[in-house]
Amino acid sequence: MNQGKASSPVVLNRNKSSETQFIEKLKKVEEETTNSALAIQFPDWDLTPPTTLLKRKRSKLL
Amino acid sequence: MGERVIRTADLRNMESYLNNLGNSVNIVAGQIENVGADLNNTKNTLDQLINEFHQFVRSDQLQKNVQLAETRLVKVRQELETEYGHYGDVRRRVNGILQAVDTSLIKKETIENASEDQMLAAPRYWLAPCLIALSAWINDNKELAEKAMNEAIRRDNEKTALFFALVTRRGARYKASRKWLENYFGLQDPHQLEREIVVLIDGFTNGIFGPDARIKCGKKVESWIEELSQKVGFVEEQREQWKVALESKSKKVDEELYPYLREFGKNWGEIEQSLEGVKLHKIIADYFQDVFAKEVTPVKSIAVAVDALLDTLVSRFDDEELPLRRDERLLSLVIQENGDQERAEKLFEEEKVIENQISFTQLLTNFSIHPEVSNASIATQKFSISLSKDWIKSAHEDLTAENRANVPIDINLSIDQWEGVTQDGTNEEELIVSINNHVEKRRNAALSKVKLGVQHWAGLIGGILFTLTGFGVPFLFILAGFCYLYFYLGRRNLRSRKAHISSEFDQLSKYCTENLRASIAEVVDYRRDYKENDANAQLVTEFLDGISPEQYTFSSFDSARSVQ
Repeated sequence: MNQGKASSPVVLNRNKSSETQFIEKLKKVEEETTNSALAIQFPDWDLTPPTTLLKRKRSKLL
Repeated sequence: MGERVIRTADLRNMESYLNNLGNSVNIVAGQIENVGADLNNTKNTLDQLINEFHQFVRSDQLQKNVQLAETRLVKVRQELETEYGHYGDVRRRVNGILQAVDTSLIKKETIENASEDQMLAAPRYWLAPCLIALSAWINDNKELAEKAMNEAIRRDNEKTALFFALVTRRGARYKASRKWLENYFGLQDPHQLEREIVVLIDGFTNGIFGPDARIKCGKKVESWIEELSQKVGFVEEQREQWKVALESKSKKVDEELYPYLREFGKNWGEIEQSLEGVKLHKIIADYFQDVFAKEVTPVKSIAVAVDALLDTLVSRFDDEELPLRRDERLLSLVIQENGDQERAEKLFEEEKVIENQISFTQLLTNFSIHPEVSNASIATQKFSISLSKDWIKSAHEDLTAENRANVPIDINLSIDQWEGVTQDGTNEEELIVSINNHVEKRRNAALSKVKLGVQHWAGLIGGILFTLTGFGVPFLFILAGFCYLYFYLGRRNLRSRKAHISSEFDQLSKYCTENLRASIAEVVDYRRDYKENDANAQLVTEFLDGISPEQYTFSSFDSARSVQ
């Protein structure tokens, strides 16, 4: 680990290829674990939550 | 006095009477025996009767229990059907949409469900408006979808948020999924988290909810930390918790190291403890570096576990209907166990899911330090360590300070009967002199005890006397000779013993000196070892300072390097 300070640093990010691989593997997992029949039924718009956060309600979930 | 003559006939009569009496007694005895046997039989029969009666009563009771359970079960089920019958219907319809693999089936299901009437049929059930919202969404009816969604949120915002987070994930709508998940996390009380949160954390750290969720949901979780930190004593509690966790990584000093200090160091225990503590820095630094060096690989099993939460959420009974469902289950068990109430209750208790609420911070500690126990993925480990880094650093600093304070300043050595003290081995020569002096002293003491006995001196005196008097009686010269010989042999034996003792002490001296030198060499090694390992404390601090919360999201940890 070397976090030396520099006046005009050039940042080398060596994560790019690892990140790309990660995304590719993630896509494979997604294909296997999503329901494509359901996925293609949804219209273009998303059903998203309202912006205002409501109060916490304690209830057992599962 | 006259003789009384007893006639033979009288005796025979008496004999006969006696015989008859005897016979009668025997008969009576036989009859008594029979009565006894009859009594036993009667008792056995009675016992049998009592057992059969008890069995009958028991059997009757069990039958009654079954009949009662059956009657009650009918009533409970009627009540369930009346009050909550449509709940099951809602659950079936939701499952119909979520598990359908054919688009035409989905379409068919959603058309039937896209009606506001469903909400009226189940006015309190949160899943009913969710069903409508989902169906309306699929049918491209935004107005109805949002209306139903808001109603679902009003009825139960937590379950609704989780439901849509999981549904949108299953439908590959990651942007929406991330928003719903953020919403869900925002509704959580970090003081009372359910155990299932573990699956969700594992899910988003591994990108199961989409790449963006890793950062955004991570921020929500960070806000839990901030909230928890408001509590008095919380930070101190975390520091103590982490001290215990870090110390658990400590390893015993290799048994082959420092053999001389082990044997001759009086305070070896303190030395050993200080070494274990100081070597911990490298262990901890290596452990964390190793975690962050590993690649995060998306794993199907995590996605499957997340997906399974949806099925569980949809299938479980609502809180309202739980009391009746529990009654239904218990009554069913009574019938299943043929009326055995006790057994049925025992089985019912065993089936109950133990409600486990967990401490979030303990969860983080377990994820970070005991992944083998908590089954945490690498992504979750990284995430947990980055969230906990301030506490880890604080705990580590405490441990370092404690370890440094407990380093023994003096090393007390004890070889044979000699004791000495050194701090860093620089007084080696002084100690060698001391130990040699000690051995010399003992040698002298031992040698001084080896003397000629009285008998030897007596022999010498005897020899002199016999010599003086031998001039008159030549025979006495022989005796004198024997006396002188005795004295001489005594002296020779003495010399031999002294030489032997001296030789032993020479060996002892050599043994002590060699062991002392070896022990001192190990003292020097120990001090150097400690100093080198103590410098590793800095590694831990630097590493933790270098972690930023975003870095756990990368597939391999590698800080951006600045190059001039």
